[in-house]
Amino acid sequence: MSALTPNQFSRRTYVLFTIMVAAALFIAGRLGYWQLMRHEDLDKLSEVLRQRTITEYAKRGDILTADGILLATDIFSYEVAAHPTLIKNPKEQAQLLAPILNLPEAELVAQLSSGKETVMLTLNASTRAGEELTALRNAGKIGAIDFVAKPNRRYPGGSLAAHIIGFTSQSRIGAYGLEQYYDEILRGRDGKIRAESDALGDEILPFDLPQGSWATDGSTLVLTLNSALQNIAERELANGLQEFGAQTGQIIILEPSTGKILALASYPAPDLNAFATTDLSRFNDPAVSLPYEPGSVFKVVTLSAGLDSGKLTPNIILNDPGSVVIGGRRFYNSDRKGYGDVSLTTAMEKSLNVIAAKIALATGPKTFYQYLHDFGFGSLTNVDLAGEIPGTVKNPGDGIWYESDLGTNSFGQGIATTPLQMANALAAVANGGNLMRPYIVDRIIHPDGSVEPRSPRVIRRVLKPETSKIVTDILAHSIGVESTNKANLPGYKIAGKTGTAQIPIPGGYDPKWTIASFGGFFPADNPQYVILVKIDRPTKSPWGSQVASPIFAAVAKEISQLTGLPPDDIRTTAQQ
Amino acid sequence: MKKHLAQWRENWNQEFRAFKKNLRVRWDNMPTFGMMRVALLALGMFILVAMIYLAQASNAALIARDLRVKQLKIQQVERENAQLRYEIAALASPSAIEQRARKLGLGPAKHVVYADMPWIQPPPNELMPAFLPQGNQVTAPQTFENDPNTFEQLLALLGLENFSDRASAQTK
Repeated sequence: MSALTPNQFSRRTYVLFTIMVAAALFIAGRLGYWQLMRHEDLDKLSEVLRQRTITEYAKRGDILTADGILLATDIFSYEVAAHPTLIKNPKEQAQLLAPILNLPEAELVAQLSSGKETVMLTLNASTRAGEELTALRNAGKIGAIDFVAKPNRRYPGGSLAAHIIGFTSQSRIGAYGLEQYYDEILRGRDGKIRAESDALGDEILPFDLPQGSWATDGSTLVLTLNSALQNIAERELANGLQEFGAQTGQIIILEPSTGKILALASYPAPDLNAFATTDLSRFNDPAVSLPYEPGSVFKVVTLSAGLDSGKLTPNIILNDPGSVVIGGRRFYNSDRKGYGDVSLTTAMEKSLNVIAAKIALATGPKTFYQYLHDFGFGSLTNVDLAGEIPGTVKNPGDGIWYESDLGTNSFGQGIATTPLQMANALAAVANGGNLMRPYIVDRIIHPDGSVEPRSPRVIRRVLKPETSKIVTDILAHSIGVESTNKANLPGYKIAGKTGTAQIPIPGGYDPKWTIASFGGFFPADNPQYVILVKIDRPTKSPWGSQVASPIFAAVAKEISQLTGLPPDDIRTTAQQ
Repeated sequence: MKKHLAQWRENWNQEFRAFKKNLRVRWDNMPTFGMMRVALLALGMFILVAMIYLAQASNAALIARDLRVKQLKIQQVERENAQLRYEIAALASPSAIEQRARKLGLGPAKHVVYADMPWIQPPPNELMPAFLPQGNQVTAPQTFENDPNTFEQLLALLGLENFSDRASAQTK
């Protein structure tokens, strides 16, 4: 091998240098390509690999009673899953997890050693379990365990006011009652944030705040409902049903001056925390979504229409021969007796169908049905509860109305109302003739702290104030005349009316069963509470006076004790 | 081989000497010290700005991390709070309280006696239902504290006029 001449050396050096420069330029070019031209694509790819979208669940708004009792709230429970293929020491992990998740250790060992990619350990671990799992993971004691917090709707009162509240499904959609009616307001808006994650997809603490939209919690509903009154209504309803051998019934308590629903009890009431295993039909609130023929309680409406239209005077004496024919159909009193000349008070006290039919006849169909519509029958009350129906009222000229319907409707048969409509009509009489819109949400508290109050709303004036007073007096006298009247509450003047309604079945009326009801208000001189008691198919007695009246009295008594409402004479003396 | 190596070394030395000489010439031709100073100053400024930027960026990152830690802590405390609120509400629900009260032998009053005591003006809030806002207002309620005769009058109302005397006699 001959020695390299300086020229040869120099040439080779330059060749080598050129190659190296070319290589460097190539690398720089590629770097430029990736860093400058493909920068965005690579950035996105990198984000996909190391970041993930985390759903920030919005807390659904609470539902509270007027006295601050929590009826519905969100708590967080954890879904816990394991990745057995990544777990090296299943026995040790099972020992740690078993007491936290409240699962048998053997079962956990089997699941963690199953060799499956992912196994779900529990869907419903408590908040405390979640905290303990976080502590264990931060301490590096458990690995390949995924746990995600999800809000879970819970109802602390169980079945308290169940029909009013409704429930929220697993997919976080409100169903029935307030949960459905106010779903949009209660729901809030889930947030989506981008956060750094580890190989298992768990969030790791980043060196920057997560980006994205944060969750907005739902608004809180404060109801007009009073938890103590609701409890009284539910308890007395359950006791009454048991005593009179009935299966279903409702009690509604309204504040007549505002239309506030103070209590609304329907029995049987489902346990809201067990909605998944409960027949959904049990969540329908019969107070607003199940029509019934009200029977003689409706005579209050007939009497009011007759007096307000001027077709009757308060002191009028009407003759009851025992039957009356309207539209070719003969109507009798329930006991098939005739009472001769009777006052309006006696007609209400004895609940005479013949007199009711005569009043309707005297009022005239056009005026009579106008009053029915003014009282809100046949149309929605627009109460803020889901599933309300308008009921059915036949009208002259609509093709299905016959003249005999005037007689039938006068004592509350052949007409379909909801219990709330009936209670609201009674409230209009108690409220000086003003029909109020019943409502159950008193105010909405938004997440920013602003309060949206709901105020009472007068739908229309149905009766003149003097008519309202006359009707109240007649009803109060009809109850007070008979000292053994089971609706009586010693010390308080009650105005009200019993009802014993037949139940329509295909082809006529059920020969065996009735709906026993009592609708009234007290104190009669300054009505504070309207109470409607409705008991379906009582077995011990079919009569409203025997079944619903004592329940009314029991509820009224407890209300007076609870609220400290003094007896009439003490109250009027103190006010003078 | 040794000859070749010696030759290569000689060549390399020559090359290196030539390179050094060349470099010195270039160095001599470099800009004056004034320009060098400006360049050094620029470099110093760049390093300073870079250091400030890094300090700020790392500080911001630490604060962000701290905020996120606090956010997560708040979230955890809120969850605990929600759980506790639920548990309290379940225990405070009317049915739970009633159940507990019944276990303790309590129940709704069967009879309520209203004693007519015209010399005592009840407080305004007792004249109307507790949660109705439109209650009538009554002024200047008189209480047991400001009327020493009230207890005697109450005893008289219940037919126990000499109760106080008998009580004091028994004490003696």
